[in-house]
This record gives sequence, C-alpha cells and structure tokens, in this order.
Amino acid sequence: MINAIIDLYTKADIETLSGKLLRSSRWQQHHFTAMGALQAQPLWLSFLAQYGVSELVSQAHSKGAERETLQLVLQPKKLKSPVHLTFVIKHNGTFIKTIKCIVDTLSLANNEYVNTTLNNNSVIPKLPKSDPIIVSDLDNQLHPTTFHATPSAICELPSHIARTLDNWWQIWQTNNLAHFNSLYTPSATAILAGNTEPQPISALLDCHLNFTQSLSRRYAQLETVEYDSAKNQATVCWTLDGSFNAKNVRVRQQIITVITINDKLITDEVMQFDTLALSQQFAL
Amino acid sequence: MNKHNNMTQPYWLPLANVLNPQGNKQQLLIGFDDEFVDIVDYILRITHRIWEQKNIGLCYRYYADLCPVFTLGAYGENIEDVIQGTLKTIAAFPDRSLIGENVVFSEEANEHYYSSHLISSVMTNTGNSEFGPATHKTGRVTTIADCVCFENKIVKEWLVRDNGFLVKQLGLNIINVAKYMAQIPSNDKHTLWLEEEFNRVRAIDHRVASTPILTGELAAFAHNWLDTLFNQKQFAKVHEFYNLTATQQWPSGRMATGLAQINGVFIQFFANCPDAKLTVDHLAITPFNETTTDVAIRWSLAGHFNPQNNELKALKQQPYFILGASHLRIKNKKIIEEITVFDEVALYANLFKAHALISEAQLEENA
Repeated sequence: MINAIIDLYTKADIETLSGKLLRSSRWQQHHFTAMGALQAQPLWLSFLAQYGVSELVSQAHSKGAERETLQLVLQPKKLKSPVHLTFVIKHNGTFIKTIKCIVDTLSLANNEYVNTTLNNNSVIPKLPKSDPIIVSDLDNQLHPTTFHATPSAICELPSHIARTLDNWWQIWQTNNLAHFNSLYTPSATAILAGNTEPQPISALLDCHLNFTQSLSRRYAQLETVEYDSAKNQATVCWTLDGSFNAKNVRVRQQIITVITINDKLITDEVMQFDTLALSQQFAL
Repeated sequence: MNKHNNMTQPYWLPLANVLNPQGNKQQLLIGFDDEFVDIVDYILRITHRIWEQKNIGLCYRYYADLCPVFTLGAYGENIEDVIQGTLKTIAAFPDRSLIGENVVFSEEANEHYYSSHLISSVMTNTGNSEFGPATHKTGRVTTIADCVCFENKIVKEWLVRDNGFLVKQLGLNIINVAKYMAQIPSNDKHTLWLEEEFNRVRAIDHRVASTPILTGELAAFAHNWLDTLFNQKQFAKVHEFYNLTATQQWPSGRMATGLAQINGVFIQFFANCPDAKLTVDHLAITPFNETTTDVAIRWSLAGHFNPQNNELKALKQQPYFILGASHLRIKNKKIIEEITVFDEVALYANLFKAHALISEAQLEENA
C-alpha cells in the first residue's frame, strides 16, 4: 500500500494504486470525498499535471491497530520548494477502504515554479469542489455531566502514553496551554502546515492562538487515534469546529497530528491541515 | 436476528467478486433463480444488471407486475412506472454507478425476504432531470432501497435518496429545486398516501415507549434510540446510544462525529419540526462481523413545519411528513456509524404543493 502511494507521486504509477481501490473506497483530500478510482484519479492527475512527478525527499511510516500513517515530503519537479503530504490509510492488505490525505496547500501557495517563464510567483493549487457539508451549531461547553472523547478512551494505549496523549488533547480541547511547557522536551520540534522545516514548539502555541483569534466557540473532536508502539508514535485525526469570526459562519477544519513520544515527553509533532480547502469549502 | 454465518458481505468485495460469487448457497430462496446464493447476492447482482449494465428490460424479470414503489416525491404502482422512472434517471445521469455498500435483510413469513440496500452513486447530470436543466456537474448520493422480495421478484419497495446533498453538489439551491419540483403535479394516489401516512403517525402516543416489532436486545435498542431522541427529544441521552467517536451522516450534508456534533445535528433538525412523532415501520438486523451488528430501520415522521429559513416562512405550520431510513452499525451496545437518509428536496416540494393547494382554496373561497 505504502509503495503504491509513493509510486503514484514519484513514478506517476496510477494503475497500481487504482487497483487497490474498491468502488466503495473513500479518498478524502482537500475536504472532498472521492469514491473509488473513478473520482480519485482526477485528484492525482491534477497534482501531477500542476506540479510534475516528484522526487521523494523523505518518508515516515507508522502502523496502528486499524490504520497506517504515511508522511511524505516530496520535491515536485516544477516547484522550487518541497511539499508535505500526510495519509491515514485503512486497508486489509489487498484493498484500501478509506484514505484521509492532507496536502499542505499553504506551502503550495507559498511555493514558486522552477520555470520562471510562467511569470507566476505563487502556486495556486487547483482544488476540487469541497463536500457541501452542514456544520451544525452545537453546545461547545465542556459540561461536567457530558461525555467527550479522549485519546485513552478511544484507543488502547500503554498507561504512560495514555497520560501524555490525554494531556496533549487538553491543549486543544480545553485550551490548557500550560501543557506546552510540561509535555514537550526542551529540544522538541514541530512541523506545521505551511512549512516543511521543523520549528520550535512555540510555533505550535502561535498556531493555537491564531485559531483562537479566527474561530470563536471552538470545539475539538477526536475522530481516530492510532498508536505504533514500535515507533512510539501516535496519529490523531481530529476536527476543529468554530464560528469564523470575520464571516459569522460555522466551519470545520480537518487536522492530522502525528506525535512521537519518548519517556512520557513529546519529542516531535507534525500538525497538518488544508488551509485553502477550508477557505474554499466555506467561502472564507 | 439473522444467524447465517457466510452470507455475502460487500464491505471488502471488489465488483468482480460481487458479480461472480464463489460461496455455497446460504438460504433456500424458494422460487428464486438458482444462481443466487443468498438474498444479498440477489439484490447486489440484479441492481448491477438493471441499472449499471442498463438492462432496464430486466425489470420485467425481477419486478412483479404490480409493485407499489413509495418515495417521498412520487408513487409508482406497477412495473411500467418502475421502468419509466429508471429510464428517466439514467437519461439524466447516464454514468450513474450503483455501488452496493451493504444489504441488511430479514426473512419474513411465507418465503418473503426483506432487504434494505445501502447504495452510493457517483453520477454526472448531463440531461434534464426532475431538478431542472442539465448542470453537467458530478455528485455522489446515498440511497436506501427497502424491498420485499418473493419468488425472484420485488413486490414492494420504499426508496429514499439524499437528493438534498446531490443537488448541492450540482450547484443548485435546495429550496429553488423544491419550488421547481412542486410544479410537477402529484398523482392522486401519492397525495392520498401522504395524507394517510401523516394521520397514521400523528395518531401515536409518542410519550410512551413503542412496542418493538422484533424480539431481542438490538431491536429494543433501536426502538429505544428512536423513542428517546426522535419522539421524546431527550438529547442529553445521546451518550447512551452513540460511541464517543461515532460518525453520523444525515441528509443534505449534515456530517457529525462524536456526541457534541451529533447533538447539534438533532437539535438543528428537530427545530424544523418540534412536534415530530415517529413510527418504526420495519426493522432488520444482520451481523456485520464477530463483534459488530448492522440494523436497518425504515421509519416515518410527522409533525408541523417550523421553518428556520426565512425563504420558507410562508410554509409555517404545514403538515410535515418524512419517509426515512437509517442504517446503524452497533458495537458494544453503542452506535459507531449511522447513515440516515431521506429526501429533503421532496420534503420541501410537498410543503410547497400543499401550501399552493391551500392558497388556491382560499382564493376560491374569497371569490
């Protein structure tokens, strides 16, 4: 599965990956859900047409109980700087049932074409029309009598990892920002959407605070948590609902976070979301 | 609950295997063609043959001459109606796929089988349709087709399709499409059926627990789910029914994960019809795997419209009726996945039609 995805971007091998999709498979990318190869292929072809075949700069892979995670840093031939892609894959060894793929469109938009004759300083990703979802308003208060998902409640985790992940989740669900000081090693780094280079953890705090300024009445919801004990790595798929202040519209950002933990402390964190897809989906 | 262990399960099946089942016969299927190994296989393969291979004439083989088909937007009575409807849809959406995602079934009395078929379609609107002129856009849509099958033929069908989500992907506005559809006259039998169903559902006492139509723990769970949330509107009890990360797909793009979002969907939906009452009209329960069970429910909901959208304010207090279906995947006594389907476009079209009739009657009275 992993090689089939890598070969799609590095060899333009569409046939192999198409053969691993059922007609009922869902490939989610740019907040759009493609069904089967019929709808996924245009997504792949659009990437190849716009940016060219890529060289693989780096890859990271982890495996949970139900899903695998693949992170790719690709250097597309037509672009000057690399781009980060993250995949969370549910498969049975033969067929893929679901793939959640986040392409870092912010780093694409900040990119430049190698061929300057195109006279185009920034790359505007061509996005499919996002799913026209309705984000219902909800009571975002954390009432003591209601129930909210936590990593340890939805995934079997070793106790020391459970505590770290639950505390990490409090950063996003209850704004417990003091955990930025207590949960990370002093040299911990973060890779955030918009930049493929590691940054200090203060960048994560800035990212959190940026969300608080653009979104009010926020609510963070876990979707899936997978843990790879061999790599001490957790992959968390989650969403952040909020009212976009500038337009008074309820929005939902899809986020994938990959966390590496050593000795109960986080050493690396990758947080990916598709900024341009969100803007398109909710006309922001 | 059905206890067959090796029934066809399409979840991981590629189309080639769906079309060429290798397993042994799982059910007697008296009167059915010998090629079918079970009712799931029958439903999956006849659907593919009629709609995807465009062998529409096979309706004569697989539908009874008299075959009532109920949808919220129309009523068909016989096989000719089925064929005409199928042709119209294929002409408007020629590349329509019908991907069988699941078939939940029950074995009924007198060799009848009941199937609830969850279908996803991807389709491009290249011809004029009930929604208006061709848009040349592609959308995906969820359908649940509940069929009574007897001796190789479908003898009765209830069809619900999430047209709200489809028309939004086609770039259309649900309310405008509903107004357009409201101009298409209903046949008298459809109008009569809607009235009778509305009155039937309104007559129940929604404050007391409904009597399960099947025995067993999961049937009781399904009734309790609908009684508590739909009839009694006790949304604080959502946690008693849903897993912490349960996913919920509701019509027109209402997507939720987890208890808070699911609560939001219910509250926003029921604000449109605060006096809603609901009846459970059919229940089927089928194992999905060793730890998980699928429950298919066909239901009817009736109340009075309380529009949340100013464009619909003229329709306030109109009788509001929904034919709906839900597929639940249940693990450890909690829903982990819910797909609920009804046709929100037809719902509004019916409200516009009823409103026009009342307005006409008032004009005549005043004249």
